[in-house]
Amino acid sequence: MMDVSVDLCGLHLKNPLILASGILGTKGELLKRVADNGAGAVVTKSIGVNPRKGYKNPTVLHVSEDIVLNAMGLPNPGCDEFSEEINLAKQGNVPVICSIFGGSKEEFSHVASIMEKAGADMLELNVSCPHSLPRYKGLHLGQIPVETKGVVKTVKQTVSIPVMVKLSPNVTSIVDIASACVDGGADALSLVNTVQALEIEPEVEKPVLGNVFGGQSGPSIRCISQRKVADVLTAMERGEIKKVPVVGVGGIESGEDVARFLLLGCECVQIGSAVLKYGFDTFKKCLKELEEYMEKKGYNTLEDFRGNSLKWLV
Amino acid sequence: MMKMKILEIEDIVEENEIIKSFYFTDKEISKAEPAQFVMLWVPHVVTGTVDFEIPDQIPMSVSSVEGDTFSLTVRKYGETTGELFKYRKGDKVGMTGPLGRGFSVSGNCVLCVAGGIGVAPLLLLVQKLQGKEVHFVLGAKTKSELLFEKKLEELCTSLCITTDDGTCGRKGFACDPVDELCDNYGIDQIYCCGPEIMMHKILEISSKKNVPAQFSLERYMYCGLGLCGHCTLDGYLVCKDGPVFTSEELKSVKDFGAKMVDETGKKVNI
Repeated sequence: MMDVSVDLCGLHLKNPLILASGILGTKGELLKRVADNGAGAVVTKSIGVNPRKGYKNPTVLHVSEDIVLNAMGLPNPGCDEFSEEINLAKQGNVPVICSIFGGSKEEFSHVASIMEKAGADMLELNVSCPHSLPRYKGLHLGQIPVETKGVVKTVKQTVSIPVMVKLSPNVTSIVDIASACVDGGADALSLVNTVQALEIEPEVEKPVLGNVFGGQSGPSIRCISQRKVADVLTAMERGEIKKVPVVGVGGIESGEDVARFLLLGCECVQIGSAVLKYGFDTFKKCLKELEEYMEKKGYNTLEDFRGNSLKWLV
Repeated sequence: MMKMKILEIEDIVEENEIIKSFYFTDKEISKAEPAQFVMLWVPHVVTGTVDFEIPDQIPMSVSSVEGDTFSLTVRKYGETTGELFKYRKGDKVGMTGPLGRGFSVSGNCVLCVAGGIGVAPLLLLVQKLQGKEVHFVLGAKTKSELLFEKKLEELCTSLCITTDDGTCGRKGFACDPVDELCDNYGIDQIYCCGPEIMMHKILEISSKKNVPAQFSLERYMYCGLGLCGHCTLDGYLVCKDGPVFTSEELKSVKDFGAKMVDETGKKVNI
């Protein structure tokens, strides 16, 4: 009997496929629908202290089959308004992970505490939105290890639910950031967030995204993500960073893609942009394909093959 | 895959003081079902200045199709439509589509009910319904804002005009004569697009009379592609599951006619 369940920081997931933040996660009813359609856990849209409008459209662009660009601008109704959505989402009977962002340690810990009270099973800290300030080109929080560590530490002191940190790929050394997060007390890491990007429309000779700058996702970033994930997992393997669960994110759209991240040693994966192609069926499709892969290889549990490829990298 | 295309404005028809139809050619978008929409990007290049406040992209339904040519009928309303109204023949806009689920053709004796600019997708529907008995209620605030009445007169079995102020046709709202028309003509399918309060009334009438109805809805949209989840309505995505919903679906949607999500994601009363 095949068992694809997984334990992530004490949470039981019936399968390792998690809805990534920013996709469909605006309301509890939608999160429940994703859960009803096969996701093992769901992550909400990033929530901040106050209601916030998104950027001007276009905010999402399907540049090519494998390239998705977005600059949403973190639209969200604010943590007080969003609280009730957690309850609705939990009717999906899968763990609900609340993604939160803030402009300071204090803001992060305020939202964290409200979301814990609202019933979130886990938090994901969005320290790495590559375009959280309009047309901003400077460093963001998640690119500065000491700042990131400070935020993680403050949130960990505030809440007792597990805290995962979503890492940006737009850094010189993702291992340094991962290390700072773990030192701050992070219970898990998810990587990677979108890759900084830009698109120009040649006919009208201007950037397409309303915010000009955005982040790239979709299959075009999967191999970039695999490399970043490998960097972090090998550092853990070598004992350079304390071992915590790593959740792979970036361009996953098939069961084989899921297997690739698990073979690197990921605990779970997150899936986002694939929803553009497969809608709510994305999770069932990937799960079915993952099970086919396991069947073919004679695996009964994820432990049977998790980390099998890591030996080539250490 | 839904890639944005840059299309040239081939013709502009001024329908009235506040409404223009823009004509384009595209093999895919001209296959749009009625009430399917495009995300229309108005790139603000007419004046050549850099202004980050204006560029925007809004959902817009297709109002007519002839061969590969189609039109978008736009009411001057906000910044983006205001900008588009400055555009001339030969200027270019971006378009992604056709998107969403449109009206599905059913019934043999149908009633279309349009409020204001809601007539745009219903005009395309009426073109597709030729050969059936089609009755139409066209509502507007006032006589000068009535749209497509000549075309509809030619295409429909009957046309009933209503204006809020009584300057043309029957005084009142487009939903007012629906009950009576259903009885008079033995209507077996209702199609509706207009203000949500009006559509909500028609849902009540259609439920009472047991006549199936389809409604084209509107919500604030960011991506329009079924990805961001912003246009949600009780777990449905208006951009992907809709914009057309059936009376059967809407009966259990508590936010229909009541609440909508604003730009931040906060639910506000309609």
